[in-house]
Amino acid sequence: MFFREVCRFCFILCFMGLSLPHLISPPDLAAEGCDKAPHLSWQAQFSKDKEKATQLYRQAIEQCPGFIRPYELLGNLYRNEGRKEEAVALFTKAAELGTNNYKLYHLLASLLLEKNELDEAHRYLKKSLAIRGDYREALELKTRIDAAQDKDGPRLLLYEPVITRGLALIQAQENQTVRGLATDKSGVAWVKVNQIEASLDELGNFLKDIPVSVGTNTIVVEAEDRLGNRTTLSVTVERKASTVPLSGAASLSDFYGKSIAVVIGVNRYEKWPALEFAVQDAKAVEKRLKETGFEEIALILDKEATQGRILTELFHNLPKKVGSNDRVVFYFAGHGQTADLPGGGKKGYIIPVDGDTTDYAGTAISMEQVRSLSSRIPAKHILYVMDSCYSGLGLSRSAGQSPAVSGFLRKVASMRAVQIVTAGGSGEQAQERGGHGLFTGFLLKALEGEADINKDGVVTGTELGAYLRPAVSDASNQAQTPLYGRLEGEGEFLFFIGKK
Amino acid sequence: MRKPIRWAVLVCWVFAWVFVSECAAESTGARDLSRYHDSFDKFREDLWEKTGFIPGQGIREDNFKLADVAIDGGMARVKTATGCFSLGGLGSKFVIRGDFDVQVDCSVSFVTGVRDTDQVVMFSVLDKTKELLDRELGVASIVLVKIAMRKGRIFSGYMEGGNWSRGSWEEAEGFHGTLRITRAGKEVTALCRKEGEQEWKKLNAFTWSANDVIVNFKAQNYSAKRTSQKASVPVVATFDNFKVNAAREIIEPEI
Repeated sequence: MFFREVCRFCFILCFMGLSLPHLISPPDLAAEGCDKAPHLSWQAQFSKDKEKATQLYRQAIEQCPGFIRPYELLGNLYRNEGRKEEAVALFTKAAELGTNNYKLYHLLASLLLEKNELDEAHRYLKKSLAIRGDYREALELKTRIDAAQDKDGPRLLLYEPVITRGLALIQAQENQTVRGLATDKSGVAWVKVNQIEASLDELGNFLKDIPVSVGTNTIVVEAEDRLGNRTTLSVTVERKASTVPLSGAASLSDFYGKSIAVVIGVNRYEKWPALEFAVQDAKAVEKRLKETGFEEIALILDKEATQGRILTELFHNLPKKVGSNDRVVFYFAGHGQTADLPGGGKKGYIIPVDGDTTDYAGTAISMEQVRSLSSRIPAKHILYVMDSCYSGLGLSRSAGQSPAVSGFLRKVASMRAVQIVTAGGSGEQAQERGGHGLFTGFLLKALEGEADINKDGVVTGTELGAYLRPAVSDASNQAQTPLYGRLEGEGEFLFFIGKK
Repeated sequence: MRKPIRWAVLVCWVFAWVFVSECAAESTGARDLSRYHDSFDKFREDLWEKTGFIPGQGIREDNFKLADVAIDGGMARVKTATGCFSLGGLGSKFVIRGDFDVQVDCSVSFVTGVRDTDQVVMFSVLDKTKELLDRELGVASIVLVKIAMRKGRIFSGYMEGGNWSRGSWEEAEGFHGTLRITRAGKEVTALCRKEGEQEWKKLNAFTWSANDVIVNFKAQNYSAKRTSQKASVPVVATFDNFKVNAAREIIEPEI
């Protein structure tokens, strides 16, 4: 019993920390060293008296300037008392010491926002979110800082019409393609051209064809970011009276400046099975294009058709020679491949002569790349003709406008158009027959006049698609059905074949 | 100032001594603390801070070193320094309000045959409304202690207004298992369960305080009567799988 009492006494002393009155000491103001700083900081947190808490935090900092926690806690105490400058100083010190406290970075950013120190606020907020990306308070503050930082409307870059400072642009057509890029760190909400909303892709490329009258026209491009900031840009276009006939035989020079083509054919692949007629097809297409007015044709065959050579032609040579009133055909005869994307969806590739059988991404050319050509060159009309089978091209089918409409050609010729025709869909085999690829055989027939549905001497992109789909599908017993689609704009690619 | 967060609605609350089995769930966010499990795979600086309250500071401060606290092998490991007074551990940044049920795995093997070192390991809840001073401290604890050459013991008790009360003790030359404290109203129950056992063993039940608390676990190398210290061996304790099985309300720290 006695022993038990002795033990009880010992344990009481243990827990009271020798809390007999003569042994109790006041907080040790003279103690030094980082070993005691947590003690002071923790005591301060339990203190009911703010002055005393402040004093204890200060002592902890003095004793161990590298101990982060008292900076955070004292800073927050000051923040709650409205002593914001002192709070910012202490929070900043904690940040300098490398705290991982995402709440501190958020609170510091919040205080800096109040001081309108936006860049610093943004910097610290990024740190908060880097530590904890889902911290709701920080995400909310980010919206506020972004809003405070972003006072400007979207940046507008106009590709077409080309702005010439102080000069009115002169053009002959009744429609003007307005095309450009709108970018904004808060995101672009919309772009309008003469108050009509333009199509806008995720990268900020916008496009709108608008009618222009004979005489002076002012085109106003407006863009608004997601925060409501706007930018307006205007350009003056002078339109001459039209020289294009409303009816009768239309001629190439009425509609286009230059006609340029890149024609590629690959039979002898390094790693893929050889094809029989791709090179012959390319040569035949080149010949037919020349006959329909194409004067600049880059013919790239077999071993020349490497990934590097094709990309050079598309993205280096073409942009240097293509103008805004020109038309461009890109023709490819060779292997195509559609790959499944990890996140779902599909990606189409054209396979150059040196393309690998598995590493498409590294050695082939994606249809995405090919399509991006349309934003690199100012051509009025672009037509991609692929004698390969693909899917995942994101085609928006469009039947086009009825050729019966009066002045149809004049209208569609003046609007931008990027169109594509492929030999078939995913999983289909592009067949070779009768010395040609089946698709190219019909393509050549189409350009000889068979696709000229309304017999006006002009084959439009839409007519080409409308002809090739059933013709190739029937000839292949539905084993191969070409795809036709419009990638951009409301105009029509035109082939002038002459009236038969 | 702290920001009360009312999201801590009890899902599996039972009164303190009606002990539900494990209802804690894995969680990563402070907002889930009403049912929180920290396996100490990494140090959660947003939830814990290293603490070093020095009982009897006046006579020990000149020869004091903070115990080393580290996350080691997926556990929080506390190791006192040698040759001096030393203690350290982790304290929660969050505050628990109202009824609660918390537990932590604890492992300590007392070193025998050492005269110059006391070995003390505690799992506690501290009354947040009381000043952290020897005479004002409010704490409810489960204590593992071995003073010098004496036998090791485990017991539970509480301190209020500078006065200490404890229940009966049991001999223990270490502990490997789980320590658990529950509270309903002012009624506190302390329990333990050794590794491999199925049933919880009640160490003590007492009326204490219904005030807000923080959680603390620590190791120290001295008891109250020791006024000079050689401490030739460190006290090493590991803590793992801290769980808030249930809590009426958790108050997340503002910072």
